[in-house]
Amino acid sequence: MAKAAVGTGGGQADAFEADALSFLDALYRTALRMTRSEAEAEDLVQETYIRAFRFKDQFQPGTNLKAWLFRILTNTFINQFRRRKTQPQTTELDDVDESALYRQMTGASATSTLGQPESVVLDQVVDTEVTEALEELPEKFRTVVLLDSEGFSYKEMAEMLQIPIGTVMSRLHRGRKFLQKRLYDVALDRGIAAARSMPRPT
Amino acid sequence: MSTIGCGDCLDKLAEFLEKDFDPALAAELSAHLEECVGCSKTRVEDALVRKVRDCNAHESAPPALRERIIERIEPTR
Repeated sequence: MAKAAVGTGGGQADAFEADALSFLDALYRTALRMTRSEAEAEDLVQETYIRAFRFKDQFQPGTNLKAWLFRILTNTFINQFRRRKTQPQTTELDDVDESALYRQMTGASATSTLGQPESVVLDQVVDTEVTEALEELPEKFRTVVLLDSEGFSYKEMAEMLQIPIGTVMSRLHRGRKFLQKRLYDVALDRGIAAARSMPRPT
Repeated sequence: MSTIGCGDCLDKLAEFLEKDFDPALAAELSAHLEECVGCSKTRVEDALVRKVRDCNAHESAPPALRERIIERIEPTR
């Protein structure tokens, strides 16, 4: 009897482990953009799993395991990794006043930059340029943009980050505008460069 | 008083993200998303969201990290 019970428990633990590890890549790529460092991303993800397994009894089966793991990831990042940060740029960006940043961002209107639909403009931007633009985003905006790209709803993000939905929405709005402006600028530079090397009527 | 209904929630969300920041619309939308279980799962998935996801899609965790994690979590079984 005792043996059977242990066996069942082991099976459940294996299932939890397999389910949890299926989100390793998603957690890693988010950690990479959050920490902007491969070494720190590895530390952050490892710490996230150690905590997840330490507190696995608190996970309610049937609820969203990915959201639960991402909540641990963002908490661990906020509580441990952000304090560790020594890069002056991060501190500087974190101190930026949201409305001042927004005014700065809206200086050039993204939608009228090239007069093209957004998807057409975005097609001209390569992955590394998106990554660079993302990493320039102040941390609180970057976090919601990243979580949004992982498919979490605004309500899930609010619960994860322990902030009101309205705050998630305002950070997402501003983060996206910042990103759009950067990416349109990149596309515009590319358009000018292409026109120079191979002049043709547009 | 919320003027957002379930029928126009997604359109309003897209409009909110598209246009300049509108605090009144943000407040109405967040109030609705807070109280409506169905719409609380609603989110906007557009070209920008896909672009962010795609730029990260090729990143996978190093195999050594996976091994280290498995080693560390084994004793918790």
